[in-house]
Amino acid sequence: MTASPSTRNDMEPPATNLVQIGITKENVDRVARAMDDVTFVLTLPEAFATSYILNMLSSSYFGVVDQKLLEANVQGGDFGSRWLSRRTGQEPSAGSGPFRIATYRASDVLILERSDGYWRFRPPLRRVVFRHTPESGAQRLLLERGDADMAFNLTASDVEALRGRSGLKVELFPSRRVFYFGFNTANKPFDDPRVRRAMKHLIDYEGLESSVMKNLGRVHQTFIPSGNLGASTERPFGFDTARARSLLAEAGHAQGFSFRLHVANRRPESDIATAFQAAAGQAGVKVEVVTMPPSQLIPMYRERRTEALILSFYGPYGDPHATANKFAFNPAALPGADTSRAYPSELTWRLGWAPTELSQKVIAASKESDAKKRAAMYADIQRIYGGTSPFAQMFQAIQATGMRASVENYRYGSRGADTSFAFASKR
Amino acid sequence: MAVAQAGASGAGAGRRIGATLIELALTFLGLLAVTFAIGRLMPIDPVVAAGGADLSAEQYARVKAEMGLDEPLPVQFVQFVARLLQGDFGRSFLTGNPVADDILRVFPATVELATLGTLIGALIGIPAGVIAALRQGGAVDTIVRVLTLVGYSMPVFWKGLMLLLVFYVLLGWAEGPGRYGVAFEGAVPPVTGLLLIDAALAGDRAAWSDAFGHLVLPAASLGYGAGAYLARMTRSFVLEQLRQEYVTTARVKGASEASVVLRHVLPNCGVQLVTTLALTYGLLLEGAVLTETVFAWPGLGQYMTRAMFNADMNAVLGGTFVIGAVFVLLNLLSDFAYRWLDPRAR
Repeated sequence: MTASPSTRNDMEPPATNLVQIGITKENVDRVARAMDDVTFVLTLPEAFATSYILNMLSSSYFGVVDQKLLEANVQGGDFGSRWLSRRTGQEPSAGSGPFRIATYRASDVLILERSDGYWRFRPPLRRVVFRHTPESGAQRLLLERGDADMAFNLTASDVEALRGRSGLKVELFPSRRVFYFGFNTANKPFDDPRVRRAMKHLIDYEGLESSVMKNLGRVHQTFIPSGNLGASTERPFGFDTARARSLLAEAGHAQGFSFRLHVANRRPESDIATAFQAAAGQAGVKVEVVTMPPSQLIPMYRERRTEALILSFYGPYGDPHATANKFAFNPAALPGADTSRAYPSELTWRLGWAPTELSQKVIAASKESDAKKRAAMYADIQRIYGGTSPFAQMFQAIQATGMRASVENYRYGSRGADTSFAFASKR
Repeated sequence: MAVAQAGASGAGAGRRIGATLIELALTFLGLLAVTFAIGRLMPIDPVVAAGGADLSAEQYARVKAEMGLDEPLPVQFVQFVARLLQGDFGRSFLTGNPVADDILRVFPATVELATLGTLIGALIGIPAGVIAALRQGGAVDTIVRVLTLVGYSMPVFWKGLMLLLVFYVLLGWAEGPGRYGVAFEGAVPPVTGLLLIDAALAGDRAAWSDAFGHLVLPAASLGYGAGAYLARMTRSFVLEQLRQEYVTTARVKGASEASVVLRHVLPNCGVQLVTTLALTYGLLLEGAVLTETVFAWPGLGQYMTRAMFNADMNAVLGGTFVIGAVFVLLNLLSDFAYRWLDPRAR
């Protein structure tokens, strides 16, 4: 079954997804309007950078859906979102993309079928079947045997084993995920920027890149993932124990200190923590590594109960604001903000960091329509951020994808919307 | 007199059934209390798990109230039991489905795997244990002991991957990971959820062969571990019986070795073997998670593990309750089997 042809009217998006640019349930009917079948007008309550809005709207969070079908399935003013999230393969698809979900069973199988009525072209593949195969070794065997055409969750060692094998290929795509350390500035001695800078010099970036992160990530020391507007490629921090010692001495910690590092019990975070523990020891810093499931770590982080932690962040869309407003912006730092209340959704607040100037710069950058000026503003934000922030970005993740050599034109993009099977084919 | 005796016997049976039912009800209530306590004592936050890490303070309070977690604990427990009595385990936020529906989907996959695994283990392990005991200290005994030791000590992950490499990739004798081939998606209408039975009911020979081809390697992997355990236990049970005086008496009276083993020794090991088998089956139903992971088997173990790592508490509690209930029922079945095997227990 295919979705009915989409028109401009179907572009009117769910209000809940647009709250962050000032579009609410109350004003959505007024500001998001279909003028005719080919014209959609979005009137923003405030002026924002065009690239920011377009990057957000073109992310995988947004899609053109069948208005009539959704209206027929509205429950309690939810714009049909509950029905969309629980729709079975037997029900008609509301989407307008190149494929429709034919079957979905969590942790088992997802089958996409070609939408023959897709407005752009006819996708070469009739069906895309995803089998949930949690073990990387099993994925590799399926690929080698030819029972799978692609494998998405290969470990570094399986990627190595597949390289150069006849009939197979491995492609490495930059992901939007960035791994980082966080140091809680509400705790001593991380309230001192010199101590935070010292920690950034105790991470063996290049050493980890060629060992723990081999085929999994590349050194990346800022919050904007490469591939996004304004992403800095500079590496202001290198592994330098002497520099770290000198910064610690300046901060009055010549003999070092000890702290507890919370880490998710998964790779590569736990491996990075172990390597950091050894490196920090060289500067007299004793690190107690505590591993726990993310479901335990995140609530601690939200409640500001971590001294330091290692996590990763996946930008929700391919625009610098997606990560700038998480790492360099704190609403509690803005003039007139209620500083007595909690902001647990903000990463900066969780680490007790309230940079007023940076927060204002982040807002200004999100409203700059000139792309060159906007990129320059993010360069400035990242420069200030690197020297003062309690975050130490280390690596941008790599999506290693193993494929049969016969698979062509699969697209993966770090901006999200450009990841697609629409053009993929099998020779 | 005979009527009176029959009446007394009937009343005794009724009392026994009544006592068993009360015992079962209390056990289940205890199980529910423990399950509920686990859910509340675990150092995780189900609100963040369900609502996401980026919930604002206001959204957090709203989700918490929606989940009923702002009620006092005794009220939450009563609500939990009341919902469970109606078969409502809540909804899994990971799958978006009612947990009861998810369990009905994944549990048959585990039952199918654990049953064949136990069968393979019993068919190999019990005879191997008997033979090893009869040939104590000999070459056969040594081989059995070495093989069982290997079965115990071999990591499940490695064993699974080696089986796949040899029998799936190199020899092509078995199917690969997954419960069925992609071509058979939706081919068999679900009746019991047990794919082998459903394919047989549908008369679809190709689907049955495909399902069996996928089942055989994970079941063999589980069966090897179970067989190793059963062989060692059987060997020790049989050795213990072989030292008894009734065995010497039977031999002195001229009974053949086969008769001694089959008519005297094995019936006397029956109770212990049934207990061991029931425990093995229960453990495979509960603990096949690594095998399910390697073989991409969409069973209860994988479902529970994923739920636990993501703090999907409704799914964790539902799964824990089902596993607990399975152990209670297996225990009950073992009790019935004792009475049947051992007249003294009646």
